[in-house]
Parts: sequence; structure tokens; C-alpha cells
Amino acid sequence: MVEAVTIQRPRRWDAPFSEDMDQAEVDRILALEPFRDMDRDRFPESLPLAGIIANDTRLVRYQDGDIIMREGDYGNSAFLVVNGQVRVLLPPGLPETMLGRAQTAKKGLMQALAQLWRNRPYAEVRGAYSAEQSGGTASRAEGAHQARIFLQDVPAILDNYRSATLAAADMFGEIAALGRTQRTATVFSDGPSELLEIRWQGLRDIRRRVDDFRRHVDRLYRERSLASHLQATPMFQHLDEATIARIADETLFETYGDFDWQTQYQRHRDESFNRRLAEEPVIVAEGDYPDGLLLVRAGFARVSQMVNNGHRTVRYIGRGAVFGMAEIIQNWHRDNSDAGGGGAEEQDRTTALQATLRGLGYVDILRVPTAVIEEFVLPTLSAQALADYGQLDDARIGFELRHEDKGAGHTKMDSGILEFLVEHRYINGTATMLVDLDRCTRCDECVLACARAHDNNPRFNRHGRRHDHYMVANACMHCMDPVCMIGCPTGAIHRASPGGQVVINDTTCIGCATCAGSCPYDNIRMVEVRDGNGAFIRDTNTNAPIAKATKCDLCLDQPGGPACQRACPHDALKRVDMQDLSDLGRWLNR
Amino acid sequence: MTFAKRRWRNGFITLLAGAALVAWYSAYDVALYQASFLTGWLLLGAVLILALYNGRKKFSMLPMGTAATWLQVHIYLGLLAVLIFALHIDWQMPNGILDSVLALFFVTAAGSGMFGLYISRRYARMLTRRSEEVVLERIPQFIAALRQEAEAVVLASATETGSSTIADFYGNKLSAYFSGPRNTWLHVRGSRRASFALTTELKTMTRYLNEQEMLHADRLIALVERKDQLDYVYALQSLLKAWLFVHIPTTYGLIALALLHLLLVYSFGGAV
Repeated sequence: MVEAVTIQRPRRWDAPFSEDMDQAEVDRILALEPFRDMDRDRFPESLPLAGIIANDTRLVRYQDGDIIMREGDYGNSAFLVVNGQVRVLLPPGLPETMLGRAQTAKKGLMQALAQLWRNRPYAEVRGAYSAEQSGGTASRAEGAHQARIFLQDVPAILDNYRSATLAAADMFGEIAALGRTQRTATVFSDGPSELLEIRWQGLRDIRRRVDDFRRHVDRLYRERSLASHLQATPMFQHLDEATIARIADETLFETYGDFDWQTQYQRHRDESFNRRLAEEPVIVAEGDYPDGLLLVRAGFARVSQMVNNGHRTVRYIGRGAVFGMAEIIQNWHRDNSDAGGGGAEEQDRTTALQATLRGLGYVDILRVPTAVIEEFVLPTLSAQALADYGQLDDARIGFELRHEDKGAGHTKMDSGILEFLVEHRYINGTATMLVDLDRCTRCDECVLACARAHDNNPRFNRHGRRHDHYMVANACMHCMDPVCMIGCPTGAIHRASPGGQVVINDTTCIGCATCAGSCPYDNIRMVEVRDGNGAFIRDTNTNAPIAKATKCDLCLDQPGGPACQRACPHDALKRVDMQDLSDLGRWLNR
Repeated sequence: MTFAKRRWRNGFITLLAGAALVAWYSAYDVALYQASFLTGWLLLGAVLILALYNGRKKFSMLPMGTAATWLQVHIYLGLLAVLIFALHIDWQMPNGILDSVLALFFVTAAGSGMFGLYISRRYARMLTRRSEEVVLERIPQFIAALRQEAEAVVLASATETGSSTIADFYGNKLSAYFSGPRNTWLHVRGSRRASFALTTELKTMTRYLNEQEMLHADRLIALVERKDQLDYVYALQSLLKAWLFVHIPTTYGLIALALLHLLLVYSFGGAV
């Protein structure tokens, strides 16, 4: 009999954030604000505050003008100023070009046509890289795996742009780190500074155990984003500011799932459906009493219903969606009609939640208590709105999508494809490349068109996972939750404005492959670049070829939009925004 | 819009256009005009527009509408062109050599187009149902890899068992089979006769094998099945590309001959 191999169970701090946090550094940090005043007894023995400092933080030293974080970037850590000071640039902030990002201009007709003869015969040809990378910024290597973008003329920046100073013991970046949202400001070092970078896991654990810290983070969120989030929710839009503020005061923040969901997804993606389902945290279960209206602040959630011994996905919801409103309305109607009644019979008539809500990856939930909804929202809704929002999930009867063109049967979605899209997290895409293999003649016109639009380098593979006769090709999906952007050391991968496409600035990409490693869908490729004569461009010091990350840019600079979709003669290929279920349903049911 | 609705809409428009054309042609004829000049010019115009579709593919970077819309116009205008052609030749094969060759080119271009449309719809489904996704140009590499694997199995069988049954079978039957794509025409026709026969022969051969040899034979059978899959994909994808080598050159030939026909008609046919 073969003897089983045994290893020590992997533990959370097997891979600390930095190897350089020795005991002396930890003690020094613990003596600083805000850690000095934290009650260490609130932390369990298995998760002491000193352990968090030692394993979830690192000290980073910046030089004058070094950019610490850029507006619009995604990050998974917050910063505490230990020594020196930093500047936060106030709106409108620095222009995109100064943040190491490229401005993509659309090609004119002649420029587009010229691609026919100007495209290079060799793969991945680049022009000479100049030291001057973008207006006002440059980069330098900082150790083997680090690079810094820095502002070249700090006094001029301070003269021309409004800024605020943060000094020792000030913290910044915690909202974006905890909420998985974009950084709202650019921060740079004003003179030499030393900062403590705290990764998301450490922040989360401190927030859980230190009331002051939690209140601080929650207050920041309430002040900066909650009111606007609530106001954008359809059923709150008619409420005045004072009512919104009262609802905001009562709203609870909840987080489910793993911040680094992509890692877990990659590990489990080939396991059985039931195993993967068991990994998804249950936010509320079918049959529970609806104790609050749930609003998805970030991430995605699966709505499923029990069918005998299994769970059937009926839809998925993402940022801005609500869950549980219909049940709350039903119970409110019952309470109003039975005023004064009660007892066991009434209890039996309580409408429980009709479906289970599970976090897909990482999901941030706002829970508005039922009592608050009943007091401030329901009495102000029109009869029509109450009727619309009060329709219970009828998914057991069919899979017709609610709130989506109900009269048209063509929006119905097959349960198999729905499960497939949810299981593989393709719902994250705003431009997912779907190929109908029953229409696709494998002519590769899509690949050729893509190559023509990208200097003879196709930016996707006509290959990918299949369900029935649909394939999701390996092309960047321009995700709602772009995990590829987390950790890019130079901010080269970023969202283009105003379209929000995820693009890579080739000039500032240092070829570290962080984005390619993070992409859960394997849609970013590292390529070795060449000069105009076809020779590989090499590092002066190591002679190693220079690598760059490449991926679909949705033909941002082409006059007609995505070439792949326009080039398909058989209507086999479409870039689908997975949030637009109506469009998706129509395409699937052509 | 669903494909069915689109088909109905486009078909209806084509039918209307066809009816209008026949009415126009009849009116011309009744009025004792030479209706063949009308249909001739219409046909040349239609063929030139149809030929533009191939150009659209090359200029994919320009915002000229989607290739799918162009293909729809190409298909239905092509059908209309067949009607115009029939009216132009008065539903009879022409007599002269040039006219006969011209007609032959038109029939070939139109026929290959319809054939291409048919296999584009049918083969796409067949490929989806029966095979994994393989790029046509890489199939020879995959076949070479399978050949190497098969030869390794045969060598292992001979050296480990000391028996030449599998090696002999490989030399007689499978060596040629693994040397490149095979049974192309049978696959194109949807026949599985050849692969069925080969599998039957393989299974017959297994009667003479012991248990150890059977392990090698099973691996060989699996390789034969994978090779059959690749042959199938190769056959279908090749034909999906090959029909264009008939359709496009005949279209250009047709245009050249049509221009010559036009010149001759205006020079010697009493036109003007």
C-alpha cells in the first residue's frame, strides 16, 4: 500500500508580507499611534496584534516625490505614516499622463488604413523606450522586484495642484483596501518618508477587534460613500437627504468571502460543483426571516434555490443590486392588513426568503434593517413601485429574468449556461468574449482582424472553456472587479477613461507578471519584445529579454470598436457585458 | 432579432425585390425594349457589389459596418443575382463559347457560394458536436506527436513482450494511417466507414494478444481514436476553407469575362 505523504497544514502566516519585520521593528511599530492604544487582550492568542504587525505589514521607505498610490488604482493595503510626511493631491488631482498612464487617442481613418502596410513583420515589435516615460514622472528600479514612479518636479506640483499634508501617525488608503474600490486620490512622499504598509488581511483583523479603528473606518465610509450609494439605489432615489442620512446611520457593513478570491478560484476551479459551492459563504439562506434589505456594495453574489437535494442558480447579482425587498414588502402588507393580529398563525404566514444568497469570491454587503425600510421607505413608495418590487422570485417556474423586458420570452436563460457562467466567474466581465460554436466556422477572421489592429499581434486566443455550443474565449473580459490591477507596482495596468476598459501602458510596464499571475482567467500574456529588426530587446545589465504584459484592449484606439466582433461574418462572436442580462439573454436565444 | 426572424425578413425583402425585377423585366419586354441590357447591367452591378465583400474582410480596421451585415447582403443579393442571371440568359444556356464560359463561371461562383453557405452552417455544428477545438494549421503537429507516441507504444510492446503482433499490425496498417491526415473525403461526406473498419481490425488483432500486450493495444486503440478525431477536424475545416479557393477566383474570372462580354456586346451587338 502506498504511504500517504504528510505535510504541515498550511497556516495563514506561512508567507509573511515582508521578511524584514524583525522583533525590534515590531516593537517600534507597537509603540506608535494607533497601535499603542489598542487593547491587546482583544486579540486571540492565535492572532496577536504583534503577529499581525510582524506578518501583515512591512516598512517602506520613499524618497522625495515618490508616488505612493495613484488615483484610480486598485490596492489591497493601507499606509500609516511612521516618519516624514506625505502629500495627498486634492481634486482635480494630477493628469493621467503624470500618473504613468497612456492617453489613448482613436486613430483616424487614414491611420487605421495605414495599418495594412505599416504593421511590422515581426511579433511584438516595440519602438525605442525613452527614459522620459510620461509628462512629469519617471521610474527607477528599487530592488530586484520593485519599481517606483516618482514626480520629477515636486515644487512645481505643489505650486500648481492643491494638496493636503499627512504626517506621522496618519493613516490613508484603508477604505479602498477594505472596500476593494479604486483609490480616490494620489499620494506622494514630500521629502524622505517611512511608511508602514498594512495588507488587507491585517486591516480586516484589526478592524474586527478594535472598536475605535472599526468606528474610524466605518465613519470614513459613511462620510464619503454610503449616502451616494444609497441614493443611487432605485428604491431610495425619491428620498430626501435627511432620510437618506438616517438610513445611512442604521446601515450595517458586512464582508463575505476572500479578498484574494482569484487565488482560491484558481485552486478550486477544477473541483466538483458541490465542493466549490460549499466554499461560497452563505450571506442569507432560503427560509430565513428577511431581517434586512441587502445591497451589494462590491463583488458578486449567487442567488440559488433548493431543488430536492441540490442548489439551482437562478441568477447572479453584482454591485448596486438589492436582495430581499420582495419578502419585506410581502410581510409589511400582511402586517398592515392584520394590524392587531398575531400569534402562531401569523408566524406561519410570514414570508421567508425565497432564495439563498452566496458570496462569489469577495462581496461587500450593506444591510439596511427591515424596521428602517418599513419606517422610511415602504410608506413613501407608490402602489405601482410596491407591486413591482414586491414580486417574489418565481425562478422555480422558469428562468425568465426579472426586471428585464418581461414580455419577451427571448430573455429566458438556460440554467446550464447560467451555472457555467457563474461557476467560472465569467459574470465578472464587462466585455466577455462569447463564441457560438454552432455558428463559428473556425475561419479565424476575428483573430486576423485583432492582429491587424495590433501591429500583427493577436491579443486573444480563440480557445477557452466550453458549455454546450458556447465558448468563452481567452480574451480580457475588462472585469468589474479587475484583480489584475491589484499589486501592479507602476500602475501600468489601469482603467482607461472615460470607457473604463482595462488597459496596459506598455511604456511603464516593467514585465513583473503580477497582473498575468493574478488574472483568474489566464487572459494576460507575457511576451518578449523585439526591435524593428526582429532582435529581442535585452536588459543592459542582465542581458535577459525585456518582457511586457499584453492583452486585449478592446481596440480602444481603433475607429470602429472591437475588431474581433466586427470581423465575424457569421454572428458567432460577441463581447458581452455580463451585467446586461437582457442583452445576454437575447444573444443566447437568437 | 432572432436568426429565424432575420431569415424571414431578408427572404421577404429579396422576394419582393425579385418580384419587382420580374415585373420590370416583363414591362421592358412588352415595350419591345431589349430587356437583356437591363438585366446585364443589373447583373454586373450585383456581381461587383458581391465581390466587395471579400474586400471588406481585408479592411476590417475601417468602420464600414459589421462583416455579419455584409454577409447577409452578400447572401441575399447573391440569390437575387441568380434570378437576374436566369432572366438575362432567358432561362436557356447560351450558345457562343465566350457566353458559355461566362455562364459556367457564374454558375460555379453561385454554386460554390451556396455550397459554402451550406457547409458553413452544417459543419460548424458538426465540429462542435464531435470534436475538441483544434486550430487547422496545428493539426499536422498534433498528428506527428501522435505518431511518435504510437511508435513508442509499438516499440515498448515489442521489447517488453517479445511478440511482434502489434508491431506487424502497425507496420501493415497503422504506419500509413499515422503519417498524415487520412480519410478526408469520407469524413467530409460524414462517413465513418474507414475508422470503423480500422477499429474492427484492431479488435480482431487483439485475439492474438496476451494480457501484457493488451495494455499496449488499448493505448494504441486510444491513439487511433484521437487520430480519427484529428482527421475529422482536418477534413471539415479544410473544406470550410477550400471552397473559397473556388468561389473567389471564379468571381474575379467572372468579372473579367463579364467586362469582356460587355465590350463585345457594345462593339458588335448593336447596342447604344
